[in-house]
Parts: sequence; structure tokens; C-alpha cells
Amino acid sequence: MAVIEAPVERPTRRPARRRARIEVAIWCGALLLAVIASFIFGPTSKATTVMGSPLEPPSGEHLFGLDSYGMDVAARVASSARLDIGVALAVGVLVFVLAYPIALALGFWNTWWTKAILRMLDVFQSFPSIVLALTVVALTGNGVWNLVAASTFVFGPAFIRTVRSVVLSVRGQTFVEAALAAGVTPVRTLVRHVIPHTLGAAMAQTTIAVSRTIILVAGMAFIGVGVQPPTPEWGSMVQSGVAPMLNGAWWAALFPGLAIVLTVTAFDRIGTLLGSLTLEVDR
Amino acid sequence: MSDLIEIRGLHVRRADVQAPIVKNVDVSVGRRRVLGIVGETGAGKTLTVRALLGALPPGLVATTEYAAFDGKPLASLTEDMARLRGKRIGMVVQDPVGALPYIQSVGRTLTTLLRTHRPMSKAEAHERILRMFEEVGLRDPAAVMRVRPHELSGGMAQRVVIAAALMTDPDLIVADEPTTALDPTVQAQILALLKREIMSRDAGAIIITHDIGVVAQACTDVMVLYQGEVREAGPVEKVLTAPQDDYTRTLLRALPDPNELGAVSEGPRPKVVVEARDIVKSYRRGKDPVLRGVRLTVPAGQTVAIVGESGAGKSTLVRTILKLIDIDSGRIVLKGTDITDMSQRAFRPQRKDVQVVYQNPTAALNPRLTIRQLIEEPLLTFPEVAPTKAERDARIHELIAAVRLRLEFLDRYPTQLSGGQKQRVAIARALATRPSVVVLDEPTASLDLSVRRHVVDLLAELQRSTGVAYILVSHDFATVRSLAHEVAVLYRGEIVESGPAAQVLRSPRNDYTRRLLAAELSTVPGARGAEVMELFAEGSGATPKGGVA
Amino acid sequence: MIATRLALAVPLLFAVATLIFLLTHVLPGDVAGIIAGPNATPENIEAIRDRLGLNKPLWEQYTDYLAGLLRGDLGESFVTGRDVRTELLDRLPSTLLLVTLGILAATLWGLLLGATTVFSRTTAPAARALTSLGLSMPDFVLGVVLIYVFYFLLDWAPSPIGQIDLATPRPPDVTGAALIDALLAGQWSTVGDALAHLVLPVATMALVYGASVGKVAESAFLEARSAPFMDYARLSGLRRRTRARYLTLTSLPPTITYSGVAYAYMLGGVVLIETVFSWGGVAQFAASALANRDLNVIQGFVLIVAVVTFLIYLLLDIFYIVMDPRVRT
Repeated sequence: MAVIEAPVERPTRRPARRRARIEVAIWCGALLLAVIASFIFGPTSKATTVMGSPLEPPSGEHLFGLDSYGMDVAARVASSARLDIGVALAVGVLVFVLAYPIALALGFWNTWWTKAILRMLDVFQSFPSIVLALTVVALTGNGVWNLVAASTFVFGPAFIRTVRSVVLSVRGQTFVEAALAAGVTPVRTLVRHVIPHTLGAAMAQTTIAVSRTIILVAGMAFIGVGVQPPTPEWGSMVQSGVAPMLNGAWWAALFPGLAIVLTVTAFDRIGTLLGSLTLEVDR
Repeated sequence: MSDLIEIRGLHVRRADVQAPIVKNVDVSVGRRRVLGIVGETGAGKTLTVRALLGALPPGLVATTEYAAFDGKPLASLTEDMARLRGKRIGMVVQDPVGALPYIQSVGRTLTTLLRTHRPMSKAEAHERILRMFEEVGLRDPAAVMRVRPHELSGGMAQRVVIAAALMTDPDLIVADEPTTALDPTVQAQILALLKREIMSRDAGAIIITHDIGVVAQACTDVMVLYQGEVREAGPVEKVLTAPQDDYTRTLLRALPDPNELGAVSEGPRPKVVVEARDIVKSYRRGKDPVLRGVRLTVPAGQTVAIVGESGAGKSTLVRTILKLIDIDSGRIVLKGTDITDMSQRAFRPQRKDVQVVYQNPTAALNPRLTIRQLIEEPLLTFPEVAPTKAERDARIHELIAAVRLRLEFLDRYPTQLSGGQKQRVAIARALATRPSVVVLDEPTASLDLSVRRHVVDLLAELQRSTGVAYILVSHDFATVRSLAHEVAVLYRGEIVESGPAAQVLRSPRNDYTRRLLAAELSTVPGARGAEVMELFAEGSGATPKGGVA
Repeated sequence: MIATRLALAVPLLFAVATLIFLLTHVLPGDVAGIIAGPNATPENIEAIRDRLGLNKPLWEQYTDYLAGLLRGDLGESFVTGRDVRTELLDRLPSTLLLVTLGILAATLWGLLLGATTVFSRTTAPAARALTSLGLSMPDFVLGVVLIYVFYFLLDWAPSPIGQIDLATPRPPDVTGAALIDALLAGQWSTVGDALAHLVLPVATMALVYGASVGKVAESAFLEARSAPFMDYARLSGLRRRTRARYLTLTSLPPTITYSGVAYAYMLGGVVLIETVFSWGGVAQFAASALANRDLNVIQGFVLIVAVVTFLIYLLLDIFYIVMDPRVRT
């Protein structure tokens, strides 16, 4: 007797995935180059020495011109790259290492203490976290690690909220309940069945935290909180470049601004691509 | 009797591809004729009908040799049909609650719809809809007008959708799986209503379904589709009693035999493996009890089937037995040990003895693991069953063979298997630790008709060879008949009847059981159908408490 | 839901107040030292500590603080010496004006972006690109760029030094927000100037925040479009206009809710915009307070933001219940 089975599904869209992977590699490569360039073209010495008269326009010698203190804009832009990217990556690591397990726990278990933590997060979240971060940094001092800590507190809750909802939906899937009903220990279920299906979202959210950190740090420096001059930082460079710009000297503000936008775009793009890559496999 | 709709040589294909998904289909429906388009998932039923209606999703292209409505040839399906939809063609859909926008009342939706196609004043439209609601059997039409869609039950919503389809006096009704999402008792009522309205209005209809029972009851003609092609078409009596095509025959053979009796137990009564006593469970303290004092005993090596409609509490009962949810009072005994008060931690080792096969095999198997890994997991959870790797591998091979899948499947992923194959993997996984009892939660509900038979036969065979007991939860009587030694009928949290399968299924003592059985539509067209039709004729078929579904 | 939120109001504000107190008083970092500056003598620092009341035991400082709050006294600014509450409330309307207009513009722009991405095959790529750009662009950078292009290069926009030009006659001070005061006084030329000064900051906010509204709108439109009732509407021959109505009514609630959340978020984010455009609102004031470690101002600002945020979320809850009947049952 012939057995008639319904047609079988095959995974599709391979070329798009390959393109996505290549693009991720390109962006990562670009970021890596930026960091390397930072050391080569923007050593701290070069970035903090006056090299000529203020506001010299871009030339062969100073590719991005000189700022209002006479310092080389290109060197400063390059130098700031390792600061901003470094802080952002540190925040990324912290968020992934600290917030991801919390999100997993909050989504997987539903006990009184998970509910309590959720309530606290709720309170935390219904508040413009920028203000909180600004306050913390302003009060604790402008050290790099304060920036990292403050940013982690700003973006951690959003990460937890988003990743937790993914954890919740995976938790509700039949195969997770099947594992628990079949006697698999909760921890093993979490590791074997839940984590693989949530890793993609976690990575995407981490890159979002990374790119938002760059904006936050630069923004804080813009209003004078956090990184202080003469330490080169894109945000404070934009701030000191505004007045000259109103008189025509556009280079002091534009190049650091461009650097911010490009770096954030790079991380955003990586995050989006990672998100779509891991989404396919989850089907 | 000029044909209402006639389509010849329908082809549907993706815009960027030449190969057709639907090939050379002819559709012809006349007045007072109901055409059933039947086939399994992926056969192309919905695509065919959507093409016919000119409502294909973007990216698909339909071509016909000839198309005509009510005798008049049509130039373009998309444009011409668009003008007829709603006005002369009424639609009935599978998900009636979803079909009505939740942002406004039912009355407003229908009034807009009616006045779009038949210009009239709001008051006239209101009146007309009220009368239509009465005709389709809604008890309180004025109330229904005022509510929002999510406040309606499935059956009520479907009556509303039918009313919407009929209120413009269409010539043709198109119904896509109109009863699939409904309970069996309601199904029968709705089909009876549809047929009555079609005949009394001299209209024609097309009903898409995967359920031959629906075809047998409500249709005059049938078309069998397989992979986009018509395998057989003709009057229902002819095709269902004397099929010419192989595939049609296979479909029909896969149908349950209403005379089958279920399993019979001989010899001394075996030891009891699972016992549930006086289980009471409510989700809110004291209110709305979901289970009211349920008792159940499961003998070793036999199958106890729990039947009932959705909402009766079958899943809840089973989950309390599995200790997935807590109970308010009662006792659960597994192989002599009272497990009621055990903590999850303490109970975990016992889970080796109680495994589950779920309704949806796709959802129950982690798509990222290979079949081998999936079957191996319970062996790793309970290493005492097969301590060494060699023993585990041997057991895995044993299991995959027992469920009649080839060895090479072990290295594949679930997405590469069909529904039936996946369910077999789930069964293999459930039996890995040699449990005393396996809970089968609607094991065939998600499977195609032709596959069900094989899975059920496999389950029966495995029970004979391993001596495992089954707790079978199902609303599909065919499955119940093939497997059950005992049947318990659950209605609103209470067991209203229980006993040996032969007795409960053949000569039920309880009225509700009788209704349930009657609602299971017979495949013999006409004969049994008349009984069913009478039972639910006036559209005011009562549920055991006297309300309208 | 609303009842819960209202009930939580007092404990919430209490918690926020305590949190701020802890932040400003417990964190490492010698505030007095920072205020005094690098050249201060120990006596200076000590004097400042006394003046700030930092030498009292923590518990006493806390109760003083709470007592002050209940009276409505937020202390005095270390920088200006004036009453914090007055300083902040004077400037608050200007900020609210900016943020409200900014959110409205961002919502409209976001809806446009989202709708274009979903419904227009031809312009969708452009919309998507604009959305990506808006998401990656920091608001202060965009503000600076816009100033350069539209003020310096094209001379279309007025000089970014506040709500109105120095030369423009100031309207009588009712709220502190130039546009509102001018409208109230009927000074039409001033109104024109105030509007001109609003263009760039509002545009900046619209382009940046509108991008994230756009993403939410896009997913709302997508979900609405594939809803079963939309399919049924098409199959039963409902008119285009009716179908469009269904689509809008179901996509708006999630989008507007998000706008509300963005509004609350913007109360913090507007700090940057106000600084770029020298707006003179409460956020800019707080920004300089942060740079100067003006504790009382910082505390007061955070509290005000907390209160306004709470009110916004309350309104959002009410809005959502009205718009989506499914939530009511």
C-alpha cells in the first residue's frame, strides 16, 4: 500500500545568506582596520600636540585640517576611534555576559524573585535612562570605566526586556515543554534547547547596545560630561567645532561627526545582518 | 440549468517560474449543486479557488482557457471576479473570528459590507441583517450586532460569516474549510445550515475541505486534487462508492471504518499502571473548575481514551497526571506510588516511566537537533536504560527500526521529514526509556488523513510488542476506535460515561456521547447523513445544556 | 491596568527620589572637590561641604531632602544661587514645546516612512535607506550638519542661538516659551520668528527619532496588512477606502504607543538638541548643571523628568485601552 506523504520542505535562500555573511565580514574588517589605523595615525602624542595655527583648512600635510586649538583633526579623529570603539565593545561584552543570563533566567523561570526583578526593571525602564547615565557619570567622575558601567546600566534593561521576550516565546514552544516533561533537568533544557534559539537575538541586541553606546558616549562628551578635553573624543570635537563651523571652518566638526555616523552604521549593519542570519535557522 | 461558474484549463504558476503549481483544472458548478474540492495539504485546493476568484496572492499568475459566470464569458479573472465578489459570490472562511475586524462591532462590519454591495439606508441594512441572523440560527440577533468579534464563540462567529455571505443574495457561495476549526457537534450544524440555505436560494457552492466526511454530508459533486492536478471528479455517490483513480481509493481507504470496534482486552485484568482519583482543578481559586472530581484508571499494556470536545478539560487532565500542573485536590498514583505531593525534583526520575507524544510533531522536535540527537536525549537523561555509548546506539537503531524509518533518517533534521515521519520519530523518542505509559495527546490531529492510518497501526503494534499502556486524548473517533480498550467521555470537567470501548462506541448510554458520535460525520453519503441532518436540522441544534453553539 | 499604575505612583516617585538621593550622595567622587575646582584649598572644600550640608550624617541629609520635597522645596542652585524649582519650572514649558512638536513631527515622518516601505514598491528602498540613516545618526551630529547646510551655506534658517533672534521683540513672559507667549500676546512677527527657529531643531528630532517610529510603524503596517480580516475584506469585495480604514485603525495604536515611549525617552535626549540650538530650556540648564555638578539642579531635573514620564505612561495606558478593545476583556 503506497504511503502518501505531504511534500517536504527544504531550506531556501542560500545565496542571500552567503551575501549577508560576506557583508558582516566586510564591516568587521573595516572596524578592525579603524582600530589599527587608530594606533598608527592617531597616537596620543600626535593627537594632543599643537601642530600649527588654529583652524587651518585641510591640506596635504593635515588631511582633515587643524581644529580651534591647532591640533591635527585627523590624528584626533583616529585616536578617538580606539576610545569610543573600545568603550562600546567593553559595554557589549558586559551586556552579553551579565544581561543575557539574567534575560534567560527571567524568561525561563516564573518565581517570586523573577517577578520581583521584573518589577524593578519596569521601574528602571520607565525613566529616560540617558538622564540616569548622565547623572551617574557626572557624579562619579569621568573615567573610562565609569562610562562603561553607566552605559551598561542604560542599555542592559532594554536588552533584558527584548531578549526575555524571545526567551519567553521559545520557552512556550512545544519542544521545550516536551523536554521538561520527558525528564530533562531545567538547566539542561535551558542550555540545550533554549539558548541556541535565543543566541541570535542576544547577539543582535548586543550590537545594538554597542552602537548606542557610541552615540551615548559621544553625546555626553558633547555636553561636557564624560571624556574631557584635551583627550580626543568625537563628541567633544563636534562640540568645539560648532562655533568655528558657524564661521565657515567646517572641518573641525564634520570629520568627527562623520566618524561617529560611520562607526554606528557599521555596528548597526552588523547587528541587522546577524539578526537576519540567525532568524533563518530558527525556522 | 446553466452553469453558474465554469472554468476550463486553469493553470496557476509563480510569476518567475514556468512550471505550474496547479495544472489544467476544470471547475463547473451549477445551481443547487455543491462542489467539494478535496485534497490533502499542499494539493492546491485554496490556490485553485483563489485563482478562480481572481484573488491570488502577489507573485502568482493564473491562466484559463475559458471562464464564465452565469453564462457570461469573463475576460479577466482578476478584474471581472473582483466586481462579483461579495455581491454575487459570498465567502465563508476558515477563521470566522479573525475575519471580522476587532476594531468595530459585528453589526457595523456587516452593515458596511451590505451597503457596499446593495445600496440601502442604514436602517434597512440593520433590519435585513437582523433577519439574516435569525435565519442562521443566532439566538439573540440584536446582541450579536452590538458585540465585537472576539466575544463570539467559533460557532456563532461562523454563523455570522455565513449570514454575511448570504445577505447580499449571492448566486455562488465559496467556503474554505468552513468547519475545520469548529467542534464536531457544531460542525454538523453549520454544514446542515449551509446546505439548506444553498438549496433554498437556488444558489451553487464550492466547499474546500480536507475532510471527506464533509464532502459526503454537504456536497453533491466532488473533485479530488493531488499536487495541483484533478485526479477524479464527479457526483459524490459515484466517486465515493466507486472510485476510479488510485489516489482517490487510497484516500478513501484511509478513512475510519465506523464498524470497527476498538481494541478488546482478553484474559485477567492487568495491573493498574496509572490511577487518578477525584481530581479537582480550577484555574482561579474555587471558581470555574476545569476538572470536577475525575477518576481514571489505566491498566498496563492497554489504552484508555479520553474523548470530548475542546474545552472539556482533556489536556488539563492529562497535564495533571503528568504533573505539569498542580491539582486542587485528588490523588495521582503511578505504579503504586502516590506521586500527588512529590516535588518536581523528586518526581523527575519517575518521568522515565511516563512519556508523551504531542499533537504537533513539528513543534515537538527541536529543529536544530538531528533525529539521532532527538532520540538519544531521553537515553542521556536516564543513563540507567543504556549506560554505554554502544548500548545507546544499539537502542537508537532498535527504536528507529521499530517505527519503520530507515537508518539514514538518523542524520537528518526534522525539517527534512514529513509530518508522518516526524511523528514516528516522536514515538521512537517516547519509547526510548521503555516507559510503562505513554500519553498520546491528539497524536493524529495534525497529520494528513492518508498518514493517520499508518501511525495508528504503528502505535497499536508497538503496544502489542512492548506492553506499554497508552493514555490517548483525541477528538478523532477513528483513532480512538483503532486503539482504545476503554473510553472515557469528558464533558465540562466531568466524566459522563466510561467503559469498554465496544460498549461506549457502539451503544452509548449517555446522551452527550450519542451526540458526539452522531456528529462524527459518516462517510457513507446519504444514509447515515439523513440521521445527522435531522438531528441538527433546524440550525438550533442544542448542546447538552440547551444553548446554541 | 490603570488602577495599578495609579496605585504605584506614590511608591514609584518615592523610589525615584530615593534613588536620586543615593546617586548624588553616595557615589564615590568628591562633589565638593569637583565644585571647588583643581586650585581649591582644603578650607575652600570644607566650606563648600558645610554649605552643601554634606557633613551631616547621611540619614539626616535624607530626611532633610524628603522634607524639602514634600514642601515643594528643591533647594538652591550652586551656580546661580536661585531657587531650583523656579529655575526649572521657568524653563520647562520651552522644553515641552520643543519635545511635543518634535514627537509630532517624528510620528508623522515615521508613519510616512513605514507606510512607504510597506506599500510603495517604487519608493520603498529610499524609505528604507532614510530609516537606516536616521537610526545610525546621532541627533547632535545631524543638528550640527543641518545648521551648517541651512544656516551657513544656504542662509535659509535663522541663527541657532535660542528660540528667537536677539533683535526680535520679546513677548511678555507667561510660560517662558517664546512661541506660546508670542501667540498669547498676539505678537505676530515674533510668532513668525519663533516658528522659524523651531524648524531646524524639530526637523532634527523628526529625522532621528522618526526613524525608529518608522520601524515600529513598518512592522505595524505589515502585521495589519496580513491580518485575516484584511484578506476577508478583499475577498468579500469591500471598497478600497474601507480597507484603508481598517488598516489605519489597526496600525495606529502600536505606533502611537511607541511614540509615547519615545516622548518619554526624548525628555532625556532633548538635552543634546537644546545644547546644539541653545534653546534655553530645562534640559540645557540641566546639562550645564551636570557639567558643573550643580547637585540640587540635577536632583530637581531628574525628579521633574520622572513625574512627566509617569504622566505620559498613564496617558498611554488610557489611550491603548480606548484603541484596542481586545485588551478590555
